[in-house]
Amino acid sequence: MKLASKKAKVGFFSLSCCEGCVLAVLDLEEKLLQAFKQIEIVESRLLMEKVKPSALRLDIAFVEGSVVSKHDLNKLQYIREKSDFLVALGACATIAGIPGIRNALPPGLKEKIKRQAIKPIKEKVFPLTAFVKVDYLLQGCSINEQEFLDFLNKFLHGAKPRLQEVPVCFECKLRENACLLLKGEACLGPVTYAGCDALCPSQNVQCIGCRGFTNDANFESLDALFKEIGLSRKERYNLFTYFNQLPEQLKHLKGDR
Amino acid sequence: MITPEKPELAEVLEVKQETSDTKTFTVRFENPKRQKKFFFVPGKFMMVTIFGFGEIPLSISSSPYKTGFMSFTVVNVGNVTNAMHSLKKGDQLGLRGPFGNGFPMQRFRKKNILFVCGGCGIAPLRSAIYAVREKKEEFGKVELMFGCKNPQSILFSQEMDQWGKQGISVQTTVDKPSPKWAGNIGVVTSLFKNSVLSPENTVALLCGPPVMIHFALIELRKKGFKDRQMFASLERMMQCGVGYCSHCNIGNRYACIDGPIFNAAELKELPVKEE
Amino acid sequence: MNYVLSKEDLAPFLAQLSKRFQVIVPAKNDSGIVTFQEFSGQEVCLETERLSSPKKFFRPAKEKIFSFAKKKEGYEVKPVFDKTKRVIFGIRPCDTHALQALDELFIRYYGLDQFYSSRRKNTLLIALQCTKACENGFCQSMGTSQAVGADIVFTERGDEFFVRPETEAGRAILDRKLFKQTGDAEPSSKISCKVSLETHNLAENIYRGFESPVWKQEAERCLSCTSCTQVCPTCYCYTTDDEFEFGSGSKSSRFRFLDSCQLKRFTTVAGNHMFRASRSSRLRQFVLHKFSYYQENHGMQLCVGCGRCISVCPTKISLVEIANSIQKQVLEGAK
Repeated sequence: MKLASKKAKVGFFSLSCCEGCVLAVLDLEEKLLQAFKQIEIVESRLLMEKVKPSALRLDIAFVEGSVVSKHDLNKLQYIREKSDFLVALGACATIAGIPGIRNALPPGLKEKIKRQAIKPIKEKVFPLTAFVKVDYLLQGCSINEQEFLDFLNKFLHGAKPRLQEVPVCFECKLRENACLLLKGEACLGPVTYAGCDALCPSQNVQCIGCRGFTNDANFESLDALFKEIGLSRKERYNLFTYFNQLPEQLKHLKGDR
Repeated sequence: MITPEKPELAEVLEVKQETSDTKTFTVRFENPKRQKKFFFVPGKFMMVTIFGFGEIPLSISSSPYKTGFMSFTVVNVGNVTNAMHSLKKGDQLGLRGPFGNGFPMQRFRKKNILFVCGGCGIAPLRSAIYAVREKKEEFGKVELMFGCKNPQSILFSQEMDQWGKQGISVQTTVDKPSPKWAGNIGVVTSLFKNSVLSPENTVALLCGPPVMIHFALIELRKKGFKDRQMFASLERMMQCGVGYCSHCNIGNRYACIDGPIFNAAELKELPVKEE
Repeated sequence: MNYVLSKEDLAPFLAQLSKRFQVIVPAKNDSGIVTFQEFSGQEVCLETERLSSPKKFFRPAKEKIFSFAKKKEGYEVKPVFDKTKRVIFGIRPCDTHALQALDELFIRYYGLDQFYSSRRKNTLLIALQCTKACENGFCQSMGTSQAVGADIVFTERGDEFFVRPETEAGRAILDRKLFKQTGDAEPSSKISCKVSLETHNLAENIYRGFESPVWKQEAERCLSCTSCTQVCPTCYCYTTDDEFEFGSGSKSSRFRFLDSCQLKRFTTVAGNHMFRASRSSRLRQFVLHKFSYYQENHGMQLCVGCGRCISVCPTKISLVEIANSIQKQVLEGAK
């Protein structure tokens, strides 16, 4: 409401990631151009010809990527300070995502990677929420473009966007897909947040949890089901830690390694 | 044909900042005929639309004897209430209602009344307090016991001073006192020992957080209140007000059409505390 | 008068209808599930096994119910009704009973849900009786194995359908060239379900088992994935929300979204207080709403015995098993 009169100042920032989420924003094409009537991009490596770090205060900062180094952390804290509303963009920023796989590796391998990485590297890979207040999460790898637009639209109208908090199965059933779990395939749909319109299961591909675990996940039961389907402990461990951090309830999957 | 879900236009007449996060909105239907025909019993609620933001249930906090307008006392907690807080005099909103059963006020005649409320739970009780004050001669003694988080969050403190002068015994307590606070400290049930009303001829009206209602009922029973003398207003998630959406379903009852006021005997029959 | 229609003539009949109606038929989708979809010459699937119901045409997942536009003189509020003329072919008896249960609440009970009733009024139902039991159905127990409230009832008989028109509107869409009159008796559509539920005093007995440990035991397996409520032909619970039109200053709409009682957020109020936080209380709500609450309020069951919730549950939770074991417990406890 308060923003309707002037254009909202927006910045896109990338920490350690593939920049795929900002690319997804670019994929909006015409709709993005339409959005430009209401927003002004002040800082973005991908969306601007010449990037000059701007000292301007931002109405919204979209931050993708995980925090893996001191450099990332400094950058994140700087962005937080100059932004009114900070949105974590994509799996890396919200749940540590793909870079976070490092957290789940066996110790020897972890050390080897650490030695080869750009220094100074952090002990673990973190999502943004580990360090700063995050005002909203746009989940997924990469983010869902429609969800991004809906968020932006709500925000520009002064409405508080709210997280849907439903599992992928909810949307999967609406799309009338055959259940992969019933077919004997290990799918993380029941414990993963929806919003993707059940993209993967609709293509007959199992959900691997890129939108993060729900606050109501029954890990024990799903793990037992995976075991019944015939997944080994290691397979289950890998699936649960693909995008997400291993939940407390499944500590037993770690084994002795 | 009437669509029960259709919001009717209303206009904001006045906005009053009560505390840092709470405002009272005085509104009326734009259609004068509709407003003229509008009446309600304290404890009933309206479904209030802030166009583009959504719809929420709000108890009416003004006197049922004041026709021509109604008031809502609203804490800024969510999307819709946040948008509502930016409304100014003359702005439009949508209204449906009134919904719910309301307090059975006629059954309280000749009886003493004990109001017990916590935080913004005072909103629907304020309407009942005004109703009782208006027909003072029909009711016995009146006590109000009000629990708040801290002294800054006490709602209607000026009005309470007035009520005090008009013979209503008002007692407030806070969980977290400020250095200046000289009043009671503790939960609302800690005030019960001060009540001079004899349970035999008294009804208790309660509204507040679920925990408060739970413990208040226990303490009142200890004091000798019977279940049929205690009436609680329940808060539930609601989306329709007409028993369609099922969010407010408690057992086979619906808070929106069978409630939100239930007496303690009814509450015993219902799976209120499901966890 | 009754008719017969050769199975070969079904497609031409539907094609004819689709000139005047949106014709909905059961057919396989890409993922191999039989769903109700618009007829465009695809093969109509007569299998009994069906995970999807025609609920989406009466209680859609997302339905626009009002549009709000800010005009000079104030907001304009316009209800949006779906008035599409529809024919649904192949609706099974259980689903016709499901519509009866929804009619009770949305048309006959409190007020009138005009959004629902507009869809209902503009839809003709061609029911297809079951001649073979499906995997998890228990319609026999629920008394829902025969179609009700349909405009035309089809029954399979070899390579033809026996056709019984029920309403004037139904009779009017039968093409006399394709449908041949018959004096035959209606073929039997009696089936024997593989699953059965004890329904004597069901509403009362199952509510008496409110505190039964069975809820907790079963809920340990429950993933709260909401699949059961999504496929249920009578699960109608919804949430409303407003959305601004993209790019427009003040145009917005109100939507109804199908919701699920299996979600934590379903009972969440300000302050993040949840009235049904535990999985077992949510599972219990689903089962009791079907078997107990609706019976007490409306004198009918909200469960029509289609068994879809059982078929679709990844962890094989069965509301029939739950209901049977709780009733057994309650009755044994009473002895």
